[in-house]
Amino acid sequence: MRILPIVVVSILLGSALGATMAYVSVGPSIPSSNGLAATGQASSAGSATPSPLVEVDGATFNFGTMQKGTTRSHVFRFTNRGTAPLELQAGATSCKCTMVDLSEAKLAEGDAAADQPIPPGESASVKLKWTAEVPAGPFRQTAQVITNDRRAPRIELSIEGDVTEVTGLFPTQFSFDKLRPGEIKTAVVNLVAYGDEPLTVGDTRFDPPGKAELFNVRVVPLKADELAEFKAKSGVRIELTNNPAMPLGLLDQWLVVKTNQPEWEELKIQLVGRVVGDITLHGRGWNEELGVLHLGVIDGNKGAKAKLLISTKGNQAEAIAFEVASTDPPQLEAKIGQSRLLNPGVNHTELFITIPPGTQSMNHLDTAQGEPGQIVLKCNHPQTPEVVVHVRFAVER
Amino acid sequence: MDRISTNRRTLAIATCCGLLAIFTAVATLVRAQQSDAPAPDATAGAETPTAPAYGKDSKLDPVEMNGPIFVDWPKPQVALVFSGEQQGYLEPCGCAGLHNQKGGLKRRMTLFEQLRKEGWPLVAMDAGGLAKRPGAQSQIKMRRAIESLVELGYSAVGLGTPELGMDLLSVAINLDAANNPLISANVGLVDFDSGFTSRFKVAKAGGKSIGITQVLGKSEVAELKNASDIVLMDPDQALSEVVPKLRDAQCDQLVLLVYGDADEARRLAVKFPVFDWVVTAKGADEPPFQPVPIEGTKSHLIEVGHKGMYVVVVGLYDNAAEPFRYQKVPLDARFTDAPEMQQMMTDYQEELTTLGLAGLGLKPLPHTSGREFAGSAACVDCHTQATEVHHNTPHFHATETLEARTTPPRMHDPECLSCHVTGWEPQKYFPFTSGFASLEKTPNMVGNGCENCHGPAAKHVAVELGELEVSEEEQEKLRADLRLKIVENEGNKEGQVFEGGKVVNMCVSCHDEDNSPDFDFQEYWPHVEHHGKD
Repeated sequence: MRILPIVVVSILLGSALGATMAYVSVGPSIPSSNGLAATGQASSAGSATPSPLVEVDGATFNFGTMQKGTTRSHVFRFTNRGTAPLELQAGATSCKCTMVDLSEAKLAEGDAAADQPIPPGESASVKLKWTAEVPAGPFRQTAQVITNDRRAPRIELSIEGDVTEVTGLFPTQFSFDKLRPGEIKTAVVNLVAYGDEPLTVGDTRFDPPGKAELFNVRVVPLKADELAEFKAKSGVRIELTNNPAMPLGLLDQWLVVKTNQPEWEELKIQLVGRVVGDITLHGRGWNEELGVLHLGVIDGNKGAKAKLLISTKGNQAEAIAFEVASTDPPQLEAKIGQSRLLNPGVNHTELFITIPPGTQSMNHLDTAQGEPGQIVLKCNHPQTPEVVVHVRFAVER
Repeated sequence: MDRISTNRRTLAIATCCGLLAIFTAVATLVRAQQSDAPAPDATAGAETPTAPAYGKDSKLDPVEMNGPIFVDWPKPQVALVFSGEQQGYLEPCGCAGLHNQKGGLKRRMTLFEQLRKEGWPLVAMDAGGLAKRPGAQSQIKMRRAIESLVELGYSAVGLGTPELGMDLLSVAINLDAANNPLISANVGLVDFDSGFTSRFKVAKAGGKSIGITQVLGKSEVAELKNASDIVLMDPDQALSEVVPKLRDAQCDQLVLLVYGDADEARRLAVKFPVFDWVVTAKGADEPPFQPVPIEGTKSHLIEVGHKGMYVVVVGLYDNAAEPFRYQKVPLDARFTDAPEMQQMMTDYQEELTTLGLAGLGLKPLPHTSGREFAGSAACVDCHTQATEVHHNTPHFHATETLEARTTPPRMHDPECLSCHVTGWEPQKYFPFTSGFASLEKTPNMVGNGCENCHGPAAKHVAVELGELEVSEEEQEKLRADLRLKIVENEGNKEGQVFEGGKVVNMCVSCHDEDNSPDFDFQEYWPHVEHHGKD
């Protein structure tokens, strides 16, 4: 009966001894989420033995707006509120930020050198420098200072702001997305300048020049409220409207614009989009560029399945119907699934493609070893009575 | 039992208890001194200062570089994980010195697995921006990114402008309805009720229900006015419709993901002050150390950084004094590569291989100079000293690197080829006519060759070899066109001449911030220095 009290007392004694030693050694713990490391606020005293106590006058500094290519710096002031010398060492910085040598930066006369122990009650400075060699937009760069204050062993400093360029293009391309035959769309980019030299646009031309008649170009000066949106001083909106008689296929075209800005004497802006018919295919592995479904190399023991969506738009959408006319090779199985009218102008029909398990080895990867597989679909669309789906695959066993 | 044996037994027990007491004391001390040790993984490192040195071969301790994570965190009731603006980066940002760079789905999956292994219930959300640029390769990357996020168990994946300008429908139709994470209050794929996207979701984890919605910002909506297969709505109108439904769901916490900038996220938070967390995809490139309270609301603003280098984790607790903890998690080399995502990368590279450059929509374009490439071997006979220097640099072996030093090999990846072969546009990832097409078709265009800096030299070679007759004046012009001159103090560091430096600008088209963050022209140039004809 006397054993239990001995065990309990021993454990309590041991725990108390350990906790006391631990407290003396490191002081109370500080949660990381609200601690000094994140906020730059001084940690609380909690130890009777002499110890340093670091305080930072704001661990985050906002530079505001910076023009691309310019360099700015900020000095963070570290004060030792403790009772033992405070030691600082440069830690890691984010990749685009530089911490100036701790021995160099001094904020005020009488400051201690940051690379030497800072006596209690004294201050030292740490300087962060950054050159805005990044694209326009918000930035944040960080740096760490390692201290011997055990309550705040790692101080995290950050500088932030907005980088602007001399000029800007928003968006960076003319996007037409998908155009259907006869459809007219206008794609827009805004070309703005942040400097005092007002932006003007000179001649425009298309590259390659052969398809220039397919588009109309209009350059409109931006109004004050529009400029405010881009925080710019001058700018234009370039509107590009397509001609209804566009050939099917990719818009492989650039607009070349001459401006008075030295960086952009000639600016090439890409046209992005594709003229498509009423029927388009979608699905995992579908390559619109080639009109090919890519299934890759298939384990013959397992086989493979794919699901495509046949999207039909326009007047024929409501009554469209598909059937599988043929497949080549015959091991390539195709089946029409459900058809769904999403709204009066859009019909979605499922197409299931299967390479069954147990299929023998074959190569249809569209190489010298074999042509791609082929699925021929018949439909009741007056202009597109047949849809051919090429399938690239190989079966290995 | 006699008295002696009882006394001996008591002594033995007392001795054991004494030892136990000492052990307990020591263990308590050690635990206290290791209070930096994070809960889910051994990430705390020695507090030794380390100067940044992103050298290709120096492997730095990621914990020393980027700090320990989850220090002193108790297990949260639920952990909200935020990401966004991945910008097409399936792997860590950049290709050189990957160990020292951050990001990638392989590491993200390992983080998720570690947290789940520790029993943390996760609700993962992405604010959008998985893709960056148009094109077939980006389309494949977007699809693989979405499929990977599904595999990681994301509850919500928002829609950003780049992916909405692509064939998102092709991805959505193959997502299982039960775990389709695509979400947007103001963008519907085909239509709002097509089933391809949800306007809001309620995720349940750790006994909490988290209501989530996402919007595309106003300027982003305007940018997409020509997009096909989507319907768009003003974000304010969309939230007016969705917020009452979220309120009705009586969630413990509400999250608004915004594919827009921080100003727009703040504006929406003030107008719809029901959200606990408002996430902006288009914030700064690094997340802050703390979430920022949005004035006049109960909301906190979360920034997720760019290029998938970080995720932000918010742990929720039933503790009025400290209801949440916040951690920005650098996805650095402390996280090993998850084999599932490594396999995804292998499959991705195989897909690029079988599609080929044509299948990726890459048509060779004429070089801006109008000239054609000859290949570095054509330079050897006349420029022997320069060739010797070139042969002893990594430039000469750049193509081999893709084959032999990357796993999986990247020999068919245009985003890699553009700087590892001769005759490609380095930043736009397309070949010039007469540039590298494949090892079989253009074996003389391997390596980062002479002409990538000096320009295409086929006509100059033909003239010098007497295969083509031109005037002396033209012959001299052909030579002059290929000459490059370094100006005084040319370089890419502060105080050096960058804008007027033609050579350094050539270099940084490949040695950019992503792929060569420690590039210093004045330090690197002596290693490749060469001077014209012998």
